Amino acid sequence: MLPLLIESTESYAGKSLMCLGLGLKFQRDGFKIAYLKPLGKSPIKVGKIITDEDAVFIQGALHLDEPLEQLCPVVVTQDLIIDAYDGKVRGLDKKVVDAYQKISRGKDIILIGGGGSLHEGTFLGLSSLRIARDFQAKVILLDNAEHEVNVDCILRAKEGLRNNLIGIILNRVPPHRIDFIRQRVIPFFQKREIDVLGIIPLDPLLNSISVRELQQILNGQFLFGEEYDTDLIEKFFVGSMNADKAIEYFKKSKNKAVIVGGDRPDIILAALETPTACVVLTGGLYPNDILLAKAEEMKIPMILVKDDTYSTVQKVDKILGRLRVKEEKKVKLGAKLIEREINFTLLYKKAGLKKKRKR
Amino acid sequence: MLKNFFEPKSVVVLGASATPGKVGYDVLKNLIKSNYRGEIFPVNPKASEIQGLRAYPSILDINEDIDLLIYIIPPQFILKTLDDCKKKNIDSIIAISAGFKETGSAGAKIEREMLIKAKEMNIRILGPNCLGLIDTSSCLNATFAPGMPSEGNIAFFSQSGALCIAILDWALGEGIGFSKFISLGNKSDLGEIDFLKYLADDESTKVILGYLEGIEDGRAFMRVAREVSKKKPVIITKSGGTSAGAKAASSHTGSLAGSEKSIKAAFHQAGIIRADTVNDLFNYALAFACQPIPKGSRIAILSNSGGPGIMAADAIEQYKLNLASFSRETQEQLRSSLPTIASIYNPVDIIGDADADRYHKSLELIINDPNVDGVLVILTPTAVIDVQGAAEKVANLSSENGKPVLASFMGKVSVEKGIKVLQRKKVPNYNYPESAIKVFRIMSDYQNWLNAPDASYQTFKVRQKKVGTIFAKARKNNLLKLGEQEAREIISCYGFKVPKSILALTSREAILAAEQIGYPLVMKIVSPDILHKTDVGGVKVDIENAHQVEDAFFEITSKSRQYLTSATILGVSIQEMVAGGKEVILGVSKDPQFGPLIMFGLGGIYVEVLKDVSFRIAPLSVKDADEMIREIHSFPLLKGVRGEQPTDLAALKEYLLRLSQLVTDFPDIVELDINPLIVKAEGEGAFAADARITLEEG
Ligand SMILES: Nc1ncnc2c1ncn2[C@@H]1O[C@H](COP(=O)(O)OP(=O)(O)O)[C@@H](O)[C@H]1O
Ligand SMILES: [Mg+2]
Repeated sequence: MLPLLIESTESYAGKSLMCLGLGLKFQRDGFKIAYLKPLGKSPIKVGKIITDEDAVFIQGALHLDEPLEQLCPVVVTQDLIIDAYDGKVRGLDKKVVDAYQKISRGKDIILIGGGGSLHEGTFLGLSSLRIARDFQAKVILLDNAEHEVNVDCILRAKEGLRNNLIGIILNRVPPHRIDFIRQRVIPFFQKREIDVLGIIPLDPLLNSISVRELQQILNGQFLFGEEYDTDLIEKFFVGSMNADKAIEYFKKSKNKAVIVGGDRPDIILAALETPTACVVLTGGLYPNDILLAKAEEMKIPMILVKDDTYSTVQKVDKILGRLRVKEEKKVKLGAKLIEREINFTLLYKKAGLKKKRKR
Repeated sequence: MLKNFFEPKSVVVLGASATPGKVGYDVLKNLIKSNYRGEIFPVNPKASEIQGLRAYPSILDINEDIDLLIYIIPPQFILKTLDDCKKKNIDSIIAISAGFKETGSAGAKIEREMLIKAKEMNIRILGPNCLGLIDTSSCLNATFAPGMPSEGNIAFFSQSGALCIAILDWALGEGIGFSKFISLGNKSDLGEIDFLKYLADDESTKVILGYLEGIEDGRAFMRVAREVSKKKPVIITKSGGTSAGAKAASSHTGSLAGSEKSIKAAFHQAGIIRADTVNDLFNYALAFACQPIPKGSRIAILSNSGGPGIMAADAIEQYKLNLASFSRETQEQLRSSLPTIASIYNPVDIIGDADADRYHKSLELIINDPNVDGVLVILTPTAVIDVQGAAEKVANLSSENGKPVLASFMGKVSVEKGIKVLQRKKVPNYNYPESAIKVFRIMSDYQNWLNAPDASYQTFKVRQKKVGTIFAKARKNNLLKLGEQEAREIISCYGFKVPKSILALTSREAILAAEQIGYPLVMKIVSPDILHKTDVGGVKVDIENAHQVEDAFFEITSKSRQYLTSATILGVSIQEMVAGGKEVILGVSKDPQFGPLIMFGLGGIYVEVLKDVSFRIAPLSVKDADEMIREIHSFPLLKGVRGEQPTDLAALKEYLLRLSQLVTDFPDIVELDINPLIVKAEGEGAFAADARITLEEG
């Protein structure tokens, strides 16, 4: 039985998708999988119980039979935080151990969903570092390398975990940086006995957001096109230029959303006449009927928001890259990328795993 | 105090020229040609005589006293000129020359220095970069414009020189006279406020017109305009609305309250008549200049054809005037003097075969009817009518009983001579009846303004010191956006009732608090990072038991954290629920020119979608507050429709006034929203269920 902790150097590095992708692959290779989220940081209520959104997602995707209470023994709620400050919280570690013992029975691999750093959870006595030690887990460290590789964090992790760190995975790597990483970064880590198990490129589709998610984040109102809410948006444009320029930009990219003041019919039209996934009208300004009819004709959803353009862009900016992958399409793609880009031979070797034949 | 600008006894033309085509040539020529009675001293070092007058090498070579200097030489000589003026005791300068602020930073620097120096020396300057000014009563034409208008009782000031020239030309064609004609140029020193003050007491001026692009000190402008407009009508066209400051306003109410709203509110509160177009400006001006102001809003229409009369009647309804209904006596007399197929009721149709006499007889009867406040005479050029004759008769009867008569002689070629007669005899003619009716509306508004008693203000006993302390503390902590918790406290110091509320940190505390507040109740997220609580799922209403409190607590805290992972969550406030009542919004955003602009509207879609809101500049008079409430289209909903109880309008009005007092006491409030204020039924008061305040930076 192998406890395998999936940890990351910062939040929103893509841990859930990684757990899912690894889990699916392990299952295909004949392993029996369990999943444990010791510290749930995204509280959600399912029926009567408070649990964690990640746990629910993975439970479904990997078809796990164990109850949610066991998949996620501790959920960080407002009450728990305040109680912890007041020194009223004890025995969380025991809860986690109990859960672990229950779910691990008869399993080959226990995937453990870690936190945004090895120290996360120390406050509640449940840091990843401690969990890794207590369960003698092997650790895979995931890094969001979209802007740069978090070398410091990775080296620190190596110091703390030693040989239990079986390797790192660099996620969201922009295509133009892949060569640099192959030539400079991988050798650098190899010299320090850190294996790079895979490089997952930044994929526009994976990085996309659905029209529905956008509408929810912006607290907007569908003026048209609610039925197209699963369409995916890969890019955002702000319609503040003149109409001629707008058409020029807009026609060059599809799967885009255009954020524009409701009082700019020229830009709205430019958006509707080029391949656009969604038009966001800001300032609570209704477009005229001609534009609405046009949107219907082009089947482009239109969302009306109260905020001005600036605040809308800020909101979108904050949320991009922090979304949970939920859509079927994205999940499949993510799993495929993981299977393709990760060196499982190396991973299995470092983890001491032997491929079983699928029964 | 600006007397030397308009009635100087002697004028120096600095930069006079003998070369046609130069500004210095035209100005001097205009001065000479306008029969100016004072002395003219051309200054030009290169000539001894210009246009028949002795020329001087410099100002200092002139031995006589000088009242006014016209500056037409390049900008770089202005400082030296000021020194010379000081020596010669000249205190008034018209700076026509361009090349100052409008050309960039070098010019702006000279203009700044000029202004500082002129202030020190007590010298006043019109312009620079202007056309100059004209005073028809003192026969002074100190401009380079072609043509001089005839004498009249309209004064006009304009920030655009080009518009001045166009209007002068047009006025010449239409035979419209002016008392004063002033081109403001860059408004470096003298501006609209100075001329408003001067023209208010100018006996030759009956109506003041202005064209403005920007207003610098909005509050001073309002203060002066409010007084002047009680003396004579002030009609202004204002263009170029947006200002950088108004754009900076951030919240949704901020975007509603752009500076166009401020101008509309300011003009209304100061009794200024706003003309949306230059065309309207002169339509209104002519009526005020030539005709008495109607005492009421009952308008009679006299026409020789049905269609235009009906159009005019429609316009009367549209502009919310009243179609006068004649006394029985007038009706009888009209009946006996008109053919049987004529319509003797308002609009009176004296039918197509009407001649000048029939116009005369009917108008005489109508204008003397005590139920009529003003008459519109419409004429369509039939084959039988003697248009000139009709014009004479109409004009002779106009202003009888002190009532205004406006005309709409429709057409072009066949009515032209008649219109000339009307013009000469001071009956304004409008191409279309609707324009004339609009003018009646404007005149009748002005009469109401004149009738209105002086604005009365109400102040309340409030805890101003306490609010000062809260603001000071917030400032010290660099907290400029105050959320519901702080804002509640502040507005309650100014007498607003707020629902009881207790902050709970955990769900257990929430349940305890709920027992104290009582069910049903409202729960809201408390976080300095969340200003729109509903947007993040941070508000739950109608919570009825402990179980729901627990659920809501979980949902509110986890949703808020999910939307804004970095949000500091201070807890959840457990709040008394205000049941029943209508939700309204009170808002304030500070306008850079006019100060705090107060907004009022009915909550929800009425404000956000329909933009059904009213605006006034603080401080609000009692009348302002009243008007704000009644002005919105959804007012009937507040008053109660279909047997519904009326809401507490008295409380609402009081809260508007208290809000006005708060933002007047604390001018560093840049934004304030009370959204919603829940107004209960008459006599039951109102509660501020949510509020936020933003303080100015720095
Ligand atoms: N104390 C209260 N009593 C009754 N209704 C309330 C109360 N507080 C809030 N509400 C309702 O909830 C809505 C949103 O609450 P509010 O405090 O204004 O949050 P937001 O930050 O979203 O503006 C209000 O418009 C009102 O309808
Ligand atoms: Mg509110």
